[in-house]
Amino acid sequence: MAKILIAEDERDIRDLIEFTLKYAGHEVYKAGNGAEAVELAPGVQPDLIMMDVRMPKMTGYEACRRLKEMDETRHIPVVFLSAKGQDVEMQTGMEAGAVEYILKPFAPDELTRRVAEILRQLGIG
Amino acid sequence: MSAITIENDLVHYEVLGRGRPVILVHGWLSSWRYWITTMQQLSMKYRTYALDLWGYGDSSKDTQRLGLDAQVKLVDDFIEKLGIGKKVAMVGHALGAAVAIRYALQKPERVARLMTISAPLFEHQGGSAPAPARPTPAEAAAPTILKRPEAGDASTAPGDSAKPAQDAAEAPETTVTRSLWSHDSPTILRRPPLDIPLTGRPSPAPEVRLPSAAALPSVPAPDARPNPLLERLTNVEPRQLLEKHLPKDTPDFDKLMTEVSKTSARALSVSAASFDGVDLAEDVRRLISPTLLVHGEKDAFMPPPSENLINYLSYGKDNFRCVVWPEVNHFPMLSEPAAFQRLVMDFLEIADVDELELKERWVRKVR
Repeated sequence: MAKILIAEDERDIRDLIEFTLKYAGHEVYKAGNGAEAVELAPGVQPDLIMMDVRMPKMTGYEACRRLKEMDETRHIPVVFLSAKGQDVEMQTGMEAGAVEYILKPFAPDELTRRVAEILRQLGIG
Repeated sequence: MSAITIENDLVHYEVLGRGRPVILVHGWLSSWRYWITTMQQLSMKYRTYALDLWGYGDSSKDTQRLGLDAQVKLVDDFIEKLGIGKKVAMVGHALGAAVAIRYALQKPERVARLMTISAPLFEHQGGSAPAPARPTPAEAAAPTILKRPEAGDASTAPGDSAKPAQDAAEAPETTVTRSLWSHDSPTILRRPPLDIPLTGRPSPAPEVRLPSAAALPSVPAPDARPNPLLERLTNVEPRQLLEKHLPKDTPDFDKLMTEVSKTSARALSVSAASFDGVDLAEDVRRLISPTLLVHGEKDAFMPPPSENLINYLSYGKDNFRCVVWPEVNHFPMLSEPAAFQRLVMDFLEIADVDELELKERWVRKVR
């Protein structure tokens, strides 16, 4: 099982993701925005970071770019969470260094399945 | 993992979501864990709490507090200690159903509504009539004419022939309702309506009164009743019971087996013994909270109540429904998660449980 950092500003969604991943067996850390994620990641050293795109203080893109600039975090794969239909955002996110997109809204069991797939592809867990 | 201390011991619980509070209480064969998908589904509209009862999951295994009364007190203390100030909706399964029923009786002012799944409801032994023979599928397709209980009527009120006939006369003689046992769709069992046609409700609604004691099946003294839980739960390993009643292809089967391993055989035995003298059916009769009873037709662990008992439970009660779910076992929240979650959501949102109907989307899913 993996260590996963979630960056999501909407509390209800953040809590649901945390709950879902936690009871799928993962160790979960939470950040309320991109800046918090950038601050937490070097210390936590998560196996995976899941990040919303639109967040206050620092967007997911900006946070991803900064993570990829730092030696201690550039190896950590980032997955973006984004609303359906925002194709431009998806492209921007991939350019910022993300490995995958998960579209919102998602069912909890779908999230668990996608995360398991991503971890397997990355050879984690 | 969240925990609080109650009576100086640890109580594990999980909480998810925001909104009106819903308390989920597990049964004998696991822990809070099988509520996970229900919590996820409800969390966008409700604040869901699922706790481990004494002796189960990650709560204290103190053997002094394994009985029914202690578990009811735990739920009461839990609600108070977490400061859940509003009325709560209770959803209880098996043991949790009994706990929720008892809590709703003790604190009716705190329970907005009550849903039980696989509640241990048994026909009174030796005091009431045997359940009517179950119809064949062909018979089930036809409407069933049910006799309203009458004094001296062996089908419904044995042993009451000495009661005044005047009381019995207060109840109409016959009523017609839908078939109680459907083989191809979930069945919502209504209280026998008063001269209500096959569909719809009467307009204006007739005054419904509880039948007199003479019109209901007689009830033996509590001490004289056998305790059907003893044979089911005494000297048996919880893990073996779960293995027997939970299909191996259930999602998270291994995790549920791990959870049930935290419960001792003694915990089940003590719990079963604590039901001596308890008449949960009578408790259900006395409930004033809106109530939905759900039973799996194929539940071999806690079989659904007999038709006779369901009639007894529902007679004259408003805001009350009983669902017998075809082809479903002891764990509808695991075997039919999507349909179960919709049923819970419908139950929580409908103004009057009497109005709860099987929506087409729900029926399709469970067929």
